[in-house]
Amino acid sequence: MLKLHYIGKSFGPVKVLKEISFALEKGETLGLVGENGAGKSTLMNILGGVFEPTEGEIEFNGQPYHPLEVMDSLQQGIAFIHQELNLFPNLTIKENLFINEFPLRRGFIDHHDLHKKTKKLLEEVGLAQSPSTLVAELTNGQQQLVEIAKALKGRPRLIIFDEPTTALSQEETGRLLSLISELKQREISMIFISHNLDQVKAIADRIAVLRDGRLIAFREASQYSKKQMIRDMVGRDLEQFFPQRKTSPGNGNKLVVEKMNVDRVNQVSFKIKEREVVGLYGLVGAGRSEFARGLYGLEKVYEGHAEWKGHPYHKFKPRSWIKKGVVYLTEDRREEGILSFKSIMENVQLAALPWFAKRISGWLDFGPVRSQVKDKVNSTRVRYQNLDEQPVSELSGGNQQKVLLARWLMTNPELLILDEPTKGIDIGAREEIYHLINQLVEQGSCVLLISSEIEELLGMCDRILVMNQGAISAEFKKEDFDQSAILKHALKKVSE
Amino acid sequence: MTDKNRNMINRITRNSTVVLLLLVVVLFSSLSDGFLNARNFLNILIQVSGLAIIAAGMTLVLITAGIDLSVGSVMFLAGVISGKLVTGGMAVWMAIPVILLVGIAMGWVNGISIVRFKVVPFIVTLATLYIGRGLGLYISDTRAVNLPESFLAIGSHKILGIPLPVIIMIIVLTALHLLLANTSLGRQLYAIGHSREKSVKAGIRVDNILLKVYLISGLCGAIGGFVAIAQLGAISPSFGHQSEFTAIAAAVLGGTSLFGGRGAIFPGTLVGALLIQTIQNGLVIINADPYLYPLITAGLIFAVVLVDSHGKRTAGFKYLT
Repeated sequence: MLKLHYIGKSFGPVKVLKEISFALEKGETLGLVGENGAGKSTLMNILGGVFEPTEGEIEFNGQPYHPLEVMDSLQQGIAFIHQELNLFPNLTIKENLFINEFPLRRGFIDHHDLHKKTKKLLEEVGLAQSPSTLVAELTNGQQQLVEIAKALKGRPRLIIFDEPTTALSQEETGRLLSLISELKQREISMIFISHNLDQVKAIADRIAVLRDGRLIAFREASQYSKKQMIRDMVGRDLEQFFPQRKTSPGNGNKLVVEKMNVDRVNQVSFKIKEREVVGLYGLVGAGRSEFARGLYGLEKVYEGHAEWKGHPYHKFKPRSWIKKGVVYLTEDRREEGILSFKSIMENVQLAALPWFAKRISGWLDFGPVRSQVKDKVNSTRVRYQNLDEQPVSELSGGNQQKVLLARWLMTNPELLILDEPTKGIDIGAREEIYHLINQLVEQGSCVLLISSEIEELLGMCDRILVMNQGAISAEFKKEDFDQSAILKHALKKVSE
Repeated sequence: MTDKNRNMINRITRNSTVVLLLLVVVLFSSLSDGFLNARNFLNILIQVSGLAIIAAGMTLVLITAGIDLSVGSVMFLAGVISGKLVTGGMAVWMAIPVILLVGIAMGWVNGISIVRFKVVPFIVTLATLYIGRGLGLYISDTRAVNLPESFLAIGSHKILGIPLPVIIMIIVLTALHLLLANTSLGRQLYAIGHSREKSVKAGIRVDNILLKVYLISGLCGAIGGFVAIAQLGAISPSFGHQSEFTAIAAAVLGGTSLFGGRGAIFPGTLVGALLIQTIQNGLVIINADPYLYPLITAGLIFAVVLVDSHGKRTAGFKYLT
C-alpha cells in the first residue's frame, strides 16, 4: 500500500536520509525506531508533505505520491498524530474537531449536527466525555484520543503516531494501545514511532530501524530481539556507550533532604554524597520533576528541610541555591532554558553575571566574562559559528543543551540537578554530555540525574531512586541494578 | 482541586461583574432618590451605547490576543470629517456612509500592517491613534466642530419608544455576539487567540481573519463615535480621547482576557460597559467630585481583575491565557 523506493534527503551538503526503501501492507503496523537524529522525523515529514525528498519515489495506494503541503497528505489519506498535540484547550472537544470545517446551516454553525458528528467520532475512539467538554479539562490521554478522533475524521488509510505514549499514564497507554489494535482491525495501516522498544515490539507487525539516515534493519517484530534492536539502533553494544568514571562516591553527604512535601510529592527524603551520581526514575507524573523543582524553589514547598554540606537550609530559592553551588537544568529547554533569540554569549553568561560585577558599583567588566564563557563553551564542546551574533535558536538541540550546561558551569556548581538532560538530543551530543557529567563528578561535584530512559540511569548512576505516585518506592545500589525490578517498582500501584 | 470547587469558582468569577453591577445599583439607589427610576435607566442605556459598541469590537480584537488602541481616534476622525462635510453643505444622511468609510479605512490600515507587514498590534494601533487624532485636529483646526440641529435629531429619534442609539447598540452587539458564538469565524478567533501557530497548523486562515477583526473594530469605533456625537451635537478636540482604554476596561471587566482566547460580548462586555457607565451616572447624580471618577473606575478595574486572576490561578485556568 505504501512503497518507498530509495528515498534520500539532503539539507545542503548534509545527507540526512540515504537510500531508504521499504513497503507497508494494508492494515499493517510498522514500528519505527532509532536514536534521535537518526532521520525518523525527516522521513515522516517527507510522508507528511513537510519536506520533499531529494532522491527516490514514493507510491501510495498504487499511485505516485508527492505531497506538496500538509493538506495534500491529509487529503490522500495520511494522518499524523504528533507528539505535541495541536489542540486548543480553551475550546470544546467538538470545536476542536471541526475548527476548520464546521457544519453550517445558513452560514451559522449547525450545533446539532456538530454535536452528533462529534459524538460519533468520540465513540470510535472510546472517549465517553460530552462533546461540549472543554479540552483543558481533559487528561493528556483523553486529549490524545481527541487528536486521534480528529485524524479519523478524514477517514485515513495510514496513521502515523509520533511518540504517542510519552505523556500518558500507564492506564492511558494501555487504552491507547488497545485502540490501535482496533484500528488495525479496520485495516488502517499505521506507523508507530517510539523510544519504548517493548511497546513497539508488542504492537508492531514489523520493525524498521534507522541509524544515521540509513535503514539498518526491517524485520518481523516477533523474530526481533530487543537486544538486537538496540545493537542495530546504537551501532554497538550499549555497555560501551556509557563511559566509566575514574572516581567513586565519597563518604560525606553533600545534600540531605528530609520529608519534603510539594504538590504531588509526599514526604520524600533523599541524600547525595560528593562525587556521586544519583538517578531518579519514574513514570511521567510520578513526581520526579516536581520534587526537583520543589527542592530548587520552582514549586511551593509545603514541608521539609534540607542540609547543605552540614548546614541547615530552609530557603528553597533558586538564587540562593545558585550562590551555594546548586543548579537545575530544566527539562523544558525551549520554554525555560534558552533565550532563543539571544547569542550564545548572552545565554552562557546569564546566571553568573553577579560573580563578575564590582562590589559596590555593580560595574561589569566584560573581559573576564568573555574569556570564561569561551572556556566553558569549549569544555562543553558547543559547535557554533559566532559567539556574539549567532542566536541560540539556530543551534541543534544537543548544542542548545550544551549551552545551558555551559551556563551552569559558569557558576562552578557542586550539585547539578539535571532534568532529562538528553531528551531530544542526537547520539553524539548525548555521549559528550555523559563525558561531561563524568568529568564534573571526577572534579568533585555530584549530580542528581532525572531521566525516563532507564538505560541511561543504569549506565550513568551510582544509585537509582524510583519514584511512584509522589513517593520514593525503591532504592537500588549500583551492584543491585536490575532493570526489570526498577521497572516493577515504577509501575506498581502504591495502594497494594 | 475538585470539579465542584472549580465549577463554583468559575461561576463566581464569570459573574463577578454582574454581582458588582447589582451592588452598584443598590448603593446608588440608597444614596439618591433620583437614581432608581426608569427614566434614569433609559438615560444610562443611551449614554452607554457608544462605549458598548466600541467595546464590543474591542472584545473581538482582544480574543485574538491583539489590541486596538486607535478606536478613540477613529471616533474623533470619523466625526470630524463627516461634521465638516455636513457643515459644508453635504446632506446629513450622507454623514453616515462617510463615518463608516473612515472606520473601515482605519481598520484596514491597522489590519494590513499587522497581517502583511507583521507589525505588533500594539505598535500599529498606537501609531494610528496618533495619526487619527492628528488628522482630525488638522482638519478641524483644533476647534470644536458644531453640528446642525438635524444631527442631534438622530440622537433623540425614537422607534417604538426606544431611542435610536440604544437600537443601534442592540443591533451591533447582537450581531457580534452571534458572530462570536455561532459562526466558524467566531470560534476560530478563540483558536487564534490561544495560539497563532497552532491555528495555522489546523488550517485556519489566520491572516484573513485578523484583517477582518481589525476592520470590524474600526467599524465599531466609527459607529460608536456616530452614536456618541448624535447625543452631543458638537465634536470637541478631545472627543474620543482615551475611549480606547474605557473600551478595553469594559471588555476586561466583562471577563475578556488580554492574553487572548477568552471573552464574550453578552453578558461580558455589555455588563462591563454598563458597570462603568452606571458608576459615572450615579456619581453625577449624587454630585460627587468629578476628579474622583477615574479613581473609582481604576479601583473597580483592579478589584475585578484581581478576582479574575485569582479565579484563573486556582481553577487551573492557566491553559486559557
